[in-house]
Amino acid sequence: MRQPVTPLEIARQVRDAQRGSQAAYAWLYRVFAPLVHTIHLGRAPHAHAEELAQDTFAIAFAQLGQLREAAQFGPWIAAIARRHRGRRDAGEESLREDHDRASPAAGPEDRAEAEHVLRAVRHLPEAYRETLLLRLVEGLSGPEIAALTGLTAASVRVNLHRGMAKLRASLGLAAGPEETADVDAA
Amino acid sequence: MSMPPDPMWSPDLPGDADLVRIERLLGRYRHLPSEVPMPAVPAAPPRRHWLRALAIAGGGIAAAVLAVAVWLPWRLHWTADAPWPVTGDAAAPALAVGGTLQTGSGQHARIAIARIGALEVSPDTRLSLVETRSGHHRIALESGHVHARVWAPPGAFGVLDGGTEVIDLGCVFDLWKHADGSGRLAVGSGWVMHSEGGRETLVPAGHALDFAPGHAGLPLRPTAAVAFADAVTALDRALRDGHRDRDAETRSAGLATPDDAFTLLSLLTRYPALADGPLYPRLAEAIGATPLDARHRAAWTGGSVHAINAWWDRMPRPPKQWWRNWRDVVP
Repeated sequence: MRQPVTPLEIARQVRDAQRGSQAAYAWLYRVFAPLVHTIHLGRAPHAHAEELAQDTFAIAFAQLGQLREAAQFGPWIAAIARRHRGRRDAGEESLREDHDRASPAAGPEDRAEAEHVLRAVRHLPEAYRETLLLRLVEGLSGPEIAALTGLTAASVRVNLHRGMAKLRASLGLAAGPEETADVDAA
Repeated sequence: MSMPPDPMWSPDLPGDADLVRIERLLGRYRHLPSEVPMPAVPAAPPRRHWLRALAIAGGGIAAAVLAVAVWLPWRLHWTADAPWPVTGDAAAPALAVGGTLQTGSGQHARIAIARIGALEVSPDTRLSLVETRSGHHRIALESGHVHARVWAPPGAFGVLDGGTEVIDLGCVFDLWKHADGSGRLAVGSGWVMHSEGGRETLVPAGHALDFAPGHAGLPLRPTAAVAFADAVTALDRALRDGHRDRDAETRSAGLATPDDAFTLLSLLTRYPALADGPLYPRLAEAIGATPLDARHRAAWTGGSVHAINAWWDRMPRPPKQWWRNWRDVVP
């Protein structure tokens, strides 16, 4: 498993970027792009999500001097991403574009099913949706998600399990063994 | 206790078939850094010195407010019956409740009044600590002289002598007491109230009051003309004995200057019937209450508290905002 980034490293890179370090900007983009991307993917078509993610980073980098809690870069840019919806709303019609842009080599059945699953994820509550996309789309582990989002490990674990249980339920799948306890407790 | 294998937490662990399929389906939407270039990075932002200065100033103010918010309650709090520290020529390093401090000839002592102020004790002085707790500190001065400097809400510190009480209202004052019970109270800053047998006399800064067992004089400026002070004292003595000394009354009015307004006000407050004489118009002139209002004068003569208060309101009042006398905290 990859080692999650530490708050100290995030803070150091943010401070370096605030001093104008191009390498630090590149590091922040590389590390936090999955977070920003998934926030937009949860509400916008895939191709549009990439564009929105770029816009979000442009806004964040322009305002980076205002960030005082350098270690809180993740929650900070996540908030910017949530506020930045671009010019298009993520309505049902626009979300249908996903299968056209995503992996054109895939077969039509797979693409339709992927679209169906992504739509189901988008209907989950925001906390579950973002955490789940970081896990299922970006392939991040629980500790990595916690490091990027600033959430506690316990919150991430709960979001993952409850979100997955709700996703399975909405897709008509049997509950996974690791999610049953959380769903019962909810 | 070990956690069971959790593929949701650790993607490296094998999940069930549905999870694997969902991962595979959604994996196609993954962000690919190589396909999405990093947005343009802004030039290094100019350093905003004024913002930094503003932040530093704001931080400094906030720190000062916080320090005062912590320091002030600490200053006013005092554990009940805790002894007061004593320095100087005193025999003991502290004065406990019920204890007595005696300075000899040529000896000086300094007593901390809890944390709200200090007493400078002159030679040949004898005093004792009667009570001490948060908001209420009392000593008894048997004889000698003390110089008190207090910065605290009104009434926090006082000096007792039988039925007499000298109450600090946030100020600096001197108190002399002779063996026969007579003495003098001189106020340097703020206000002090002299209370005896229910009769209360306010003494403002720049005034002094002579007292004797069973009687308190009137607040007089130490720099007032001797003839004026003699006339006022004679008038007060005569009235105390039950007769009105018209000659002393006329001399008091004639010799008073605008700076003696507080003495005249105290005199007319103590003896309202004098308002039908020459002191009333003299005081009115001194405080700018002209032209004379016959109804007000008649009410005052009759002892109307409202009429008397109307002119008291024209004078600087005892400091409800005692903290404004912050200079008293500086030794």
